Amino acid sequence: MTKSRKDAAWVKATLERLAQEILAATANESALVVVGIRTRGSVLAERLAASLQTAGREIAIGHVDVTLYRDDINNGGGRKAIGASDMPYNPEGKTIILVDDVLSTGRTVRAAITEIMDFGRPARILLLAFIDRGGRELPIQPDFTGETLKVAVDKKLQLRVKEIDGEDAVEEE
Amino acid sequence: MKWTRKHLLGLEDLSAEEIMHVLETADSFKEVSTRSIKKVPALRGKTVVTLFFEPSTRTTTSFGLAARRLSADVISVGGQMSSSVKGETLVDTARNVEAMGVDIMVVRHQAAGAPLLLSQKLDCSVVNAGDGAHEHPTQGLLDIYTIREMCGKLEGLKVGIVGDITHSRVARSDIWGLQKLGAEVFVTGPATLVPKDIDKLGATVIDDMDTLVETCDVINMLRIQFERQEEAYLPSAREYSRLFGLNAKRMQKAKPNVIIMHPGPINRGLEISPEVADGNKSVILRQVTNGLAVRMAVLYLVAGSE
Repeated sequence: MTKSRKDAAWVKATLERLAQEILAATANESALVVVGIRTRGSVLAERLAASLQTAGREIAIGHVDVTLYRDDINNGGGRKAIGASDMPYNPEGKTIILVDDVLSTGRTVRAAITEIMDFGRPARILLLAFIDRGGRELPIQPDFTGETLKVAVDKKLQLRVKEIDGEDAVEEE
Repeated sequence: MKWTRKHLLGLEDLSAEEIMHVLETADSFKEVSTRSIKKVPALRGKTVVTLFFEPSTRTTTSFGLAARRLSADVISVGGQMSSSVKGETLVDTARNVEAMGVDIMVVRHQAAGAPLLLSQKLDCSVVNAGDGAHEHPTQGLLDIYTIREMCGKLEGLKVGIVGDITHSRVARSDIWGLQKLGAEVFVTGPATLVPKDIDKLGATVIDDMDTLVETCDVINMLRIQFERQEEAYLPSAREYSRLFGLNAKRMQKAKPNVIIMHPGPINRGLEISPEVADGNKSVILRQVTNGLAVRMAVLYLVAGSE
């Protein structure tokens, strides 16, 4: 059973609001690097970068696939395909906006931070969680949050995006 | 798909889908070698041993670096160093090494089937790095990877393999792997060095080198392996070079977008002339670069099989 939690209009409005918050919080910084966590975080990062550019900011985009940095990488189950990480800009000294679609345990974000550090030493990393469903297992908190949603532990909460899933929505299974 | 194999013994028993999975995984690993920190933590805490009973620089270096870039610990054991010279059997040597807590053993041996035997006797993963004249699967995979990268496809391509087909494990891995992905394979070489029944593997024999050069999109020049020639298969090196060597004159007959490959080490001026080996159609060094990404992919995949 899937249950719709948010619709396309909400996704659009929330991304716009987050873009405004980022502009305000980084007003004094020249260049930002928006880094998406593959796969749906990457889609959000692309959209977010586009609206930040429209607002006149200089934006670089990167993507990380954190598979190789996960702490459960050798827990079995076979190896699935991994996407290439793509960090065309050296993050040295830059401010990075790290974009996660659904934040829960914080383990994915931990892996992403470790991976970004392997490309260079950023000035700082700010975390954007489009949805925060709680359940943290690591001391990681977002700097920008789309919305905090309460979800039972055994339920899956998924952000759907039209680039991959054909629609923008948040669904609970 | 999900990769579930514990060992990589050859390309003969892999499916087309499994080969593509390795190539696509290698795509992701290629990027790692371009970072300022050329390392990912994927195999942290794992131990890889390269156990080589035949000399090799390129393949041991490539496997060693691949394992290190995945953060594994690596030990190299050479056949000369090991107790095999004191009479210990292959299985005993391997079991002793494994007893020190090894997760992946990369094995090269002069006997075909040695890696298969070890995969049955050991608990760790076994990767074949060349067994006799049987298979050299990671070389086959890096050849296929390079062809796909340069030509943009494999389906319908004509790939020629030239030289000592009989003694070449590279030729066998290439023939098996390429055909699974839809390429057509042609071979040529001295009649004494082309097995009579090679057509049973699906390869087409072409008698003369000029025809092969005119026909193929990819030409893979095998090394003439003097160390394996116990009998006199070749009348003379000069005659071999004249009949089957690839030089600038012969290259004029080739297709405009042909690529020239060689598994190395090359005998300059014998099977391939320096101007061709170093020329703009040559992808020999690209093969070496890609070999690293392909071996990272293989080690990563077999390590996740439990």
